[in-house]
Amino acid sequence: MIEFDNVSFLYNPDTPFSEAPLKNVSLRIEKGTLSLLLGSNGAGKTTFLLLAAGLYRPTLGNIYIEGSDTVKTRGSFIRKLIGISFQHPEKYFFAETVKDEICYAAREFGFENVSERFSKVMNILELDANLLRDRSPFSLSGGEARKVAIGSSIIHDPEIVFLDEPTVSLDINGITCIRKIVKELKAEGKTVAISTHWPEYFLDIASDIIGLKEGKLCFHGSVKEFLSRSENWYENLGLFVEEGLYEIKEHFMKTGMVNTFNPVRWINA
Amino acid sequence: MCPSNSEIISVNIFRAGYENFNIFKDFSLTVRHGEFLGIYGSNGAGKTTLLKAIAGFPPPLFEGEVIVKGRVGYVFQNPDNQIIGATVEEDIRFGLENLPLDCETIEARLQETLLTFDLEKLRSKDTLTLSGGQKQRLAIAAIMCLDPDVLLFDEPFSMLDRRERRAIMSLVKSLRNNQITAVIASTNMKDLTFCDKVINLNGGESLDRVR
Repeated sequence: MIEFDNVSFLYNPDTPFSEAPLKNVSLRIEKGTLSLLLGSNGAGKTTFLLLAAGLYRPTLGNIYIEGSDTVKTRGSFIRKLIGISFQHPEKYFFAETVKDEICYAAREFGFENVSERFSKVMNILELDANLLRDRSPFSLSGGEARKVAIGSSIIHDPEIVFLDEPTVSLDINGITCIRKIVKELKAEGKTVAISTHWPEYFLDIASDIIGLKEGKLCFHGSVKEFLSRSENWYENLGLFVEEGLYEIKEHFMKTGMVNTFNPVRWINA
Repeated sequence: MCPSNSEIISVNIFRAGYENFNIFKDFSLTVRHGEFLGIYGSNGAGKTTLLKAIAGFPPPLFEGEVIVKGRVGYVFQNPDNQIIGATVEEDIRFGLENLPLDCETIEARLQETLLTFDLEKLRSKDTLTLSGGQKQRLAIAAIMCLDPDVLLFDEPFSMLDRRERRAIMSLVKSLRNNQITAVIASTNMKDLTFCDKVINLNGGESLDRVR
């Protein structure tokens, strides 16, 4: 479980550049759920994930992961529990080869069967291990880099996985692959939070929706509560009821059920 | 500046790739002045490699020829690779101040860009604290204000929220009347609906979409 207790975060406090991307956020993400983090550009989604992962310290308030305060608890305890894939994966690469990049956490935490894990992860990611193993992660295409970053965030079998805009620059097969991974993580009882501008890719498998607007929590509820809102409300989250979201909402209003993902119609129409 | 309807980009690649694999083999492409060309392809198909080659940065293994008759503006896939100013204003200014422009023109272009891209409110903001989408908007603004002859966009809308995506797409679309030439790469065909022609790097046939 992840708990935010009245959390605020300030960039550059006490300087002319001071600003608060997150203000007075209180919420609980239950164990084994898949949460979608929605909001316009600059709403605070990435800051929320970095705080939840213990990489940022809250300026005010407390964050608890499995009951442990992220500030007071030993870093390695939190790191082992969490896997995070960043918005710009190539910015965080540091290893010389794809294998070293993906396997870093598994080696650090002393797993023995690292090569086996690497092959398994490459298989899940639908990447060719033989072709990419010794390549520099910096030479990968945008989509391959995103997949490698996701691979390195799940290699150590973390209980909690945060994915920051995981479908950006992925093609139809890539998005379908990420969905499959997220579905498997959820089936294994892991807690997953995804920030995205494309909720339709995950709505049918999500447990709850977290909506942020200008750094404040403006919605936290089930997928059905989210789909019951009036059309104008979605603009608060930088969304339009169009494309896949339109189809899902229409179907939900008629039947009360959430449509399954339809990649062909929603991505390349 | 090229006369209308003449070739502004001409690419002839015999072989191009990295280390031990080829991405392009016997590939050629021409773009006419004022044309909007979409490059569609799955991940790893060579979209970024092709754009970089047009911009003058071919991959390590390259045999071929690229001719571009005009000034090129490149909007990177990852805006962090491009943003260098400490604030939004400084980042837009940097490019302008490196062009042979007088102070009045620089100020006027800066103001116009801040307004057009809805960046006025973020003007003094530290670029390190911008969100992913805001960075993408800034990256596009900082290049478009330089008024290049050829604009190269690598997944330009990927990080924008739906509202910003609509706004920036219509801005890019509006450039069609300014006789600018643009090449836009994306994994999503919806990003390319306003292009005159879309080429498919997945090995399929070119998809002509004259509008």
